Amino acid sequence: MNSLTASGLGKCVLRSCIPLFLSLSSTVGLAAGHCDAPSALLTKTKPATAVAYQNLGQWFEGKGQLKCAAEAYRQQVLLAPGSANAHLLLGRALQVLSVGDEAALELNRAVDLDPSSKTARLALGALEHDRGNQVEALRQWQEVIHLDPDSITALDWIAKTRIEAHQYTAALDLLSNAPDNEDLVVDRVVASSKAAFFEQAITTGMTAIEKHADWLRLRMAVATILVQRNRFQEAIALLEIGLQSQPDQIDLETLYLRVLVLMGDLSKSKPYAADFLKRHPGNFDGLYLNGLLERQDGAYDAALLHLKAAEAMRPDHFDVHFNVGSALAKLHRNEQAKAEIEEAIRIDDSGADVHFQLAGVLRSLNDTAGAKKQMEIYQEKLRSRALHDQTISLAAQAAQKLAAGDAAGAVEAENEILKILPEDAVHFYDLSLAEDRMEDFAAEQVALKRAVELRPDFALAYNQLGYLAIRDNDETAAAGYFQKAIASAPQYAEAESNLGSLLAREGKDAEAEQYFRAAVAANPRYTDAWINLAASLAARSMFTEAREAVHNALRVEPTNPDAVKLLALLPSAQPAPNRK
Amino acid sequence: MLRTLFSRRNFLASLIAASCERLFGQAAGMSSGGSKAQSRLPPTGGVYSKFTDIAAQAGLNAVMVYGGEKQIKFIIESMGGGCAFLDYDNDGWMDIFLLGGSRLEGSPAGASNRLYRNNRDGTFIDVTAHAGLLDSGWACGVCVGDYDNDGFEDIFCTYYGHNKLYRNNGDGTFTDVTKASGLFDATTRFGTGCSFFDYNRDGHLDLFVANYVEFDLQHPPIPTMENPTCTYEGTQVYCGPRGLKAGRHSLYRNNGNGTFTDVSEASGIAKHRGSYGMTAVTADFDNDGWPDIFLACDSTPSLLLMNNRDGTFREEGFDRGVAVSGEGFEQAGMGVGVGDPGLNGSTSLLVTHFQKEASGLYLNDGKAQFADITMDSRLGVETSYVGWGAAVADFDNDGLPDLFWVTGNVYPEIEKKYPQYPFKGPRILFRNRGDGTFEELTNECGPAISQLHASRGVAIGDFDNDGDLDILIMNVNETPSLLRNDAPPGNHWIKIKLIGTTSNRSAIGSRVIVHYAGKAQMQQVLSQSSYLSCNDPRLHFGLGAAREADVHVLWPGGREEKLGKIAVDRLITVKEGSGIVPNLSHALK
Repeated sequence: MNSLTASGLGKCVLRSCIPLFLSLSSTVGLAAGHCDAPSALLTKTKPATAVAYQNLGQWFEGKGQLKCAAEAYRQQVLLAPGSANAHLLLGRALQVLSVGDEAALELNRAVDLDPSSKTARLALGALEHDRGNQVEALRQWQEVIHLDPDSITALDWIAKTRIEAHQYTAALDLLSNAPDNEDLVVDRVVASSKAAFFEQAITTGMTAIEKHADWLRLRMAVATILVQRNRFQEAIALLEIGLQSQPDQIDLETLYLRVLVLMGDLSKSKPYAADFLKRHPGNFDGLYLNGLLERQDGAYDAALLHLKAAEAMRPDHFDVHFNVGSALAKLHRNEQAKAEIEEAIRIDDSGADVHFQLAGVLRSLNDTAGAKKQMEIYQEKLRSRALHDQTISLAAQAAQKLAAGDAAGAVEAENEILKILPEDAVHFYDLSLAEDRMEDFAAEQVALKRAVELRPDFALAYNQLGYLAIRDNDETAAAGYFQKAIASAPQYAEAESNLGSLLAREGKDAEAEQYFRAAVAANPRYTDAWINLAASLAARSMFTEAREAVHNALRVEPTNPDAVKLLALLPSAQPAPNRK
Repeated sequence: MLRTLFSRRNFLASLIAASCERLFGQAAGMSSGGSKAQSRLPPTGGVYSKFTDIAAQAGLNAVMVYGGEKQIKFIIESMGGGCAFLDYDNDGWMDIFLLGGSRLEGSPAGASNRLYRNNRDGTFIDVTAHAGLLDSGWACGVCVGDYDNDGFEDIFCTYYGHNKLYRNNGDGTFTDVTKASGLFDATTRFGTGCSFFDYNRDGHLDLFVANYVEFDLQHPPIPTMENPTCTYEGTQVYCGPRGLKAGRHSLYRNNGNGTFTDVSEASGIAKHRGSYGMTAVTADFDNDGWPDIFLACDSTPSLLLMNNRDGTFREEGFDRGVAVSGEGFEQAGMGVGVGDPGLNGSTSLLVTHFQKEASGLYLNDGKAQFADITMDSRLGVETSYVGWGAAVADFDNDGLPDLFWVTGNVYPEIEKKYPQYPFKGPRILFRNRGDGTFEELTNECGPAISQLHASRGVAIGDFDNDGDLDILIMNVNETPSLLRNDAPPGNHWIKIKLIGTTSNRSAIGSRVIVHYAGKAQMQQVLSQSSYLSCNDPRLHFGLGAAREADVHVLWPGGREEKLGKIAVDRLITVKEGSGIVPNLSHALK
């Protein structure tokens, strides 16, 4: 992913806008090929000043002449080596020019010169992300959150990083009470749906759409989740409203067409698909979906024309191969059908129906053994799906019972699930939650231990085992569990904070501080961790730092009573050093 | 000016795209679908039967109570009951039996199964109480057969709760012999399909019983929006069947002394779990002389249990192409029409499904290899409604069996939000065009067809003995419908009643092939088809312009009888080993 593709570098987007014929401008001495600038600007570079080169660089940038801009900024840096802004401008220009190492040097210099520069840190974070240095990228964004807890860009980056890492709950924690912004709401919606909190995702999205009817990306995200939940009519309605305001938004149109096709009403989908392809000739989705509809309607030759064209554009697309294969099978071109369906399976083996189709083709080719094997795979997938549905239903019942205070009922439902999925760590964890509610801590511990046995990196389970160990006054064991939780999920703020609290209880405030700092680094909006940090600092009479930590908590939650109380207790002036 | 615009929208786009990418090849929820609506071809016109609903003037006036009217809380309320045409008093006129349900808050007055005796003048009289059949449980399915070979048809009913066997006493009354016959099961089960058949060919009718799901009304799953098996299109609805455990199906062997033995385990039937069984059809699908079992299943693969001829069965639904749609999708199998629409001398199947799924037509090649010809036959034009009771029947007597089914949603709640999913739907009728395709005539056959009802069971039979096939329909929380068929004049027909002697007395499992005008059509005597219902046991063949027909009877015991050049437009009664015998005194007008 190239995070700078939508950057504000004038109209210049992507490397393709670098001038083809570069010649050295004798006037400004840039080693960047031909750089034409207005004489008025060039005149201003005599005598050479940093400001003049900055203006020149920005002019080049506006014209899309990035190499020229970079050279101008380089001159600016030479003239003003202590200017964070000069290094930032040069670093970002180099970043767009894909001169990564040099860009990193410049951006790091900008950050060193001005640690409070959110812009420099965001740029550096983005660069490091693109260079694959995720830890450093995350560190920079977290620093931005420290500077500005409501930084939308930083929150967006961190949230997306967490979603990518499947840390959905962490992403949701981060985004709770986040500013009202489309990117962030979309992040919340996506994280909620990925965490299987579908209704929460839909409610969050719909509430925001009511306020911001023009948030099209959010509209599309919510529509997608609605489709996943078989709520086609609502998805259609949502997209149609969007199309009324932006009828030519192709992503929106494409999603709308997909949902129409999925609904299976040819009277609506066929004319729309045909019109879409007419308006967007050569569009992959237009070709693919028209082909799919024609196949469904029995027009196999016409379907093949469209599907083959789509296949040429996206040879890695499962569904195109599958549909081509199905159409070919209908036309009794079984050898070709076999190749297409096998290719579909190679791309994505998750579905059942594709094996059914292949079995049919193999049967036509008199490959009885092959057909039998495919049917076995197909049937096994159907069975798995049925069991999956059963466990989803039972899990929903368990959650419902737990919410209604029927912990025993929840335990019963979870045990039913475990009969179906005896090696499912998550359901052992869910069982432990119900047992916790019943205050059957011995059973809870057994379930949690089984969970971590099955999934040795199950951070949540380790964290809960830590709680139980504390309940048993076994602080050594508790610390061990929290450490395992942290080792399993290095950005697990709650475990970091728990371990910090444990150490603080033992009077090891300096060690505790490190864990609290790690917790707030992982989630800069984690007010409890900020308060714990403040307390551990205060315990060592580090009142200034403590006040700063409390203030950070209050920036996230301005009325947090613990923070307010702690702030009131802290002396206003720093006493003489007396650190442990 | 450099600005901070480090948006990661590409990342988001990929997330959304990834979510959509696989939608088209994968089932996404309760009803996986697969066969989408086809485009309609221009109508061909032509004369067809007209239907008139005469239920009210015929005296079928009892409301068939079944579950909540405005909202259905649990799955047991959604099923609705079957119905039957049967001649319980052997007077040669079809009587009517309808199954009703109850309400969660308790049965209202008048809720009961209903038996109506045919007055032979186009009207019926409610004889439920006199017959001893008043009952207001959650009845589902009915199958009819003379299990004790005493010459009177007996009735078996499935229930959510406990199934019941009613022995016909021969005097207009019935006795509940469930316990005495060994069929009582103390556990609460969700009985659905049932069928009498002689699986071991010993001349005594055995009994197959399907079960739907495991459901405990005392501890039911409570719907939530977070549970996808309890929502439909964003509306909270009752939970299931997906997500619930499938029921266990049962086979009972007739001991020949009025009792049955549960042979579910020994026969291999019990091991075929995992499918939500609905309508059961027992018939000889591979023409080997031994009856097999087809069980339409809801949201799961349907079962085809082939008779091993040694008291056991093997499941071959997938191998024989009838378990799922032709594209491999599990569908909501509800009802089953049975017949020979392709006139290839074999027993093919019409299976009704949920809305947004076409009803499936599975053509049998005579050896029980089925081809899904739904789309080729143009049935895919109709996917708007939830389909239930179904029939393959030649309503206009043109010699080409047509297709019929009734509709009705299971979620009364959703039509307020989505008018396109109405709770009540029309009756669906497809005329056989004789070229492998069918043409929908739902709006061309009179208001009785296009009227809207929430229907379930359907039985086909000639209640007025006028030589065409009428339609009995169980409507949920309404009075039933009785659609009198006025077939276009000019076409001929023949109706055949079979009486077994060494075979079971009801002749269930007999196959009859009628040859006419160069065509051959097969029908079998069934104990259940449609949706948990039972048709007129007299086999009716439309003959078109043919003025004579050859009749070939294959009795379930193995005997064959060929009857040549039979005159048309009449009922013939064939007794096993005796050929044509006189009809019952009141048989035809």
